[in-house]
Amino acid sequence: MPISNETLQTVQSLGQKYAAGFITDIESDLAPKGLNEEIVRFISAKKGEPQWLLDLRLQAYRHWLTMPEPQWSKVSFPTIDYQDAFYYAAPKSASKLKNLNELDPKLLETYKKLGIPLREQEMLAGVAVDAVFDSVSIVTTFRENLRKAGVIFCPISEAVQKYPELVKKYMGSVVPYTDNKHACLNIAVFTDGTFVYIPEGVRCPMELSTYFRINEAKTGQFERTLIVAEKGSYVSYLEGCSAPQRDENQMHAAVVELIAMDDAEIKYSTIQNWYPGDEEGKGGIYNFVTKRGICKGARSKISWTQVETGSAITWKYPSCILQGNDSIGEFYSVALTNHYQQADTGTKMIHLGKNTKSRIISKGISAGKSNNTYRGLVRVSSKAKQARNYTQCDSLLIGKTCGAHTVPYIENKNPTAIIEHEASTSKIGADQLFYCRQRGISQEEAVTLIVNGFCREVLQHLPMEFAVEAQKLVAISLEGSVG
Amino acid sequence: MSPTANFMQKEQTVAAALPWLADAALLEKQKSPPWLRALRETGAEQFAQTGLPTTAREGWQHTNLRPLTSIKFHYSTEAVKFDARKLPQKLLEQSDCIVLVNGQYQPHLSTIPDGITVMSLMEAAEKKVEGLEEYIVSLGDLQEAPLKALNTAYVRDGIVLKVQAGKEIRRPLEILLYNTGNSSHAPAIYPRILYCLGDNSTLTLLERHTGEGVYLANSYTGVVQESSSCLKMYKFEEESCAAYHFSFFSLQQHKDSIFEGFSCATGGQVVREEYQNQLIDSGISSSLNGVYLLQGRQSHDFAVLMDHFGPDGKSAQHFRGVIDDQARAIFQGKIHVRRSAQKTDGHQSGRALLLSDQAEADFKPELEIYADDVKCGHDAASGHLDEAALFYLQSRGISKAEARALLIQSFLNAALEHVTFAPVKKVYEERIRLWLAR
Repeated sequence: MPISNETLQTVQSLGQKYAAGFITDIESDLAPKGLNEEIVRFISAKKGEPQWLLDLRLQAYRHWLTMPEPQWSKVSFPTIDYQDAFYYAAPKSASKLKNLNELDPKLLETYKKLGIPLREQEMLAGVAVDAVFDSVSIVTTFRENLRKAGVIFCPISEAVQKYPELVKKYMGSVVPYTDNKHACLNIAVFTDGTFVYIPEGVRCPMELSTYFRINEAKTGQFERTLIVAEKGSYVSYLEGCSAPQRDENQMHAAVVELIAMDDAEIKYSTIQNWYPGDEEGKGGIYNFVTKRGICKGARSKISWTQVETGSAITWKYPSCILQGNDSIGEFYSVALTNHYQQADTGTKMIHLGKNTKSRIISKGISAGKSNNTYRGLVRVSSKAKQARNYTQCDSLLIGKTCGAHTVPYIENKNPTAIIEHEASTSKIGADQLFYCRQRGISQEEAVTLIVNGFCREVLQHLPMEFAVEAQKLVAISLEGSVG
Repeated sequence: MSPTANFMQKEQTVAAALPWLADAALLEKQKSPPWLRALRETGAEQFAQTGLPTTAREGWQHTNLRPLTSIKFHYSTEAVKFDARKLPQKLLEQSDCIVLVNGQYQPHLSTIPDGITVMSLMEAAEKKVEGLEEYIVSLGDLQEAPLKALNTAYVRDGIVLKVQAGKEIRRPLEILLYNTGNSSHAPAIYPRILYCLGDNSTLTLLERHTGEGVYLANSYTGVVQESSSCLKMYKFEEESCAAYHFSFFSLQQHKDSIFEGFSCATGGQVVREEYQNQLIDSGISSSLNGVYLLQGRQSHDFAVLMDHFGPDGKSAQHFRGVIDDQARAIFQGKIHVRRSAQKTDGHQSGRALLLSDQAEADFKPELEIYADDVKCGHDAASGHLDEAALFYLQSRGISKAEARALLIQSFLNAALEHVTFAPVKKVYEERIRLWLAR
């Protein structure tokens, strides 16, 4: 793939640092500011939810009040004032949409600017999209095609109404509300998200995709994604995010749960491009996300791929619980931080079943005054015979004012398990730079080229459209880091 | 957390910490300079705030101190009574030896080579030994290390050892820390040891921790290595199998100094050895390696920090362990490269062999790097004995037990080969052989 040309053109054509930083001027429905039981009830009522879900929300909210903030990560930020935010924001025109033509043209314009193929006729690749704008799922494309295959792909609020038994069975089964403070808050106030159900033996005919966007000021986004892959099914799911440039920090606390039955495979790819704050570290999104998948069945597989370039703070550990025998967990990650960004990200691989395998490839790039931490856990329980893990985490430092950290936790309780961990830290080689410069490539272009080469091992696991976008993002995020 | 819940928790922590500080009142009656009294108070205050670390605390997830709370430990200021004939033989024949029993210095049992001065901590405080106060008071963060704070609340026993500048001490010096206690009267021992090496001096130390019965040994060792000094420190952690051992080792290395440390851990019920090496200036070399051989229900935790402040520093950590029965080994290594520490070369490696189904190995090899022109790496691995290698040896007429021992020895050798002082290496090898033949 011609990485360098592609990225260079993008950098030139964009000419601005954060391309998704515009604000869409749209009227929206806001819940009163602050957080209390009334707000939780308000959200639930607004969604017309059944009693069991309201009860779950209230239970979670009460538990949340007693939970401490997680302190162990290597990020610092002022204490969050949970009362100074809106927990529900919906574009006014979004209620009860019948088809795309009824959608507010301004919204369509927004997604067009973001490059999301909402209009089916504009689609080339055949990616089905569920777009979540602030708190509400706007539109889900390609429904008809998917229905024929038996795949359920809809906003989670709709799934609660239409498929309550499925949602009730699986929601919170992988990430219970007692897990951590952010995940607990999510279940109390989540407003929408995506539900995917792949029936037995079905190979999902297209890539599924969700695009998240925070538009309204002082709102938090709390969405939930739930993917269930029945026996022998396969699904590839893509997730992208962006937000306008604002001076204050906004919070994004999402929960993603994946469930893979026997022989099922779920591939989950993320390009996270929330607004990272400006060069002085002002503003930006706090991205506190809990993602976890369970390989419930034998020979099942869950693969996480993530490209993290945005957010002022990233706090995210997509994990795999390898319960089924012979199940496989994979984690491929590129985390890039610039200016004052802070990233504390990694994965957890919990080996419970026999012959379970996991692989972790993490590439961290820090530039500017940023700090980038890999934090990962590999745990092999006493029953996980012949478990196998390979971990590689490499860090690249660009400049003298950034930091790169690696904090792996490795716990082995089974003598037949083999666990390997390798890590390295380096800077861009002077010889590599010199080689590029000698061939007439500018310093900045050369850095982009080398960084893209450094991440290649991960980027190649992304679906094609995403891989191109990811390379562009790497280039844009590195802007201003050299020289 | 709500303010009330927070307050309640704080109250509980203080209540749990207080029994540990009860005996500190004994020290108030003792004659000591005001700065030492103030220091004890700071230590007590700090410990009251944190209490014994729980598994919820970062860095302590794998070492469970709950068994400690079921035993009542007593601190005593009285001279310890013991039978001198029971003390173990010296590790090396050609060596000098300094003896401490339950943390108390025994000058009549010690031999001190030329070029070294040794005195008990209280004697040094009384004589106002130059720099002592500054050094002892500059403790670093007590909040980060609750057991160090507890040791500070009881600072009295221990020794101050100084090597004159330019002196090369040829004969190795053994420091024997012998502890004795029993279940009806389990002593809490809080020795504090200071080693100061002057410019261009050289010293080889064998620090041996051993004893019998039930006791708690919570020691703090501070080391200052002046420019171009060289310290080889070989530790033998051979505490009684019913004992609890917590040691905190804090090293300050100055320009071009060399430190070579090794620890062989075989004893104790619950053990944590914490090392913090500060490479303050440029051109410093610091290496700390070790092996641990665990069985029964032992729990052993190595927590090592290599803190690079100056440029051109070199640090290495190589740890190898063999874990049998229900034992648990923890290795937490960290390389911290500060912004000023360009051209640092740091490496750490932790490996473990699990010999039984219930053994456990936990690793946390951590890197924290703020300088861009550095070479740092780590690796960690754990697994079991290679069946194919075992079969190969057996097919050549070597018995299974022998083959096993051979493979384990070669595995441990990757750490042991970093011991450059041959006589000590032999002693370590003998220790490993005995453990394997147990």
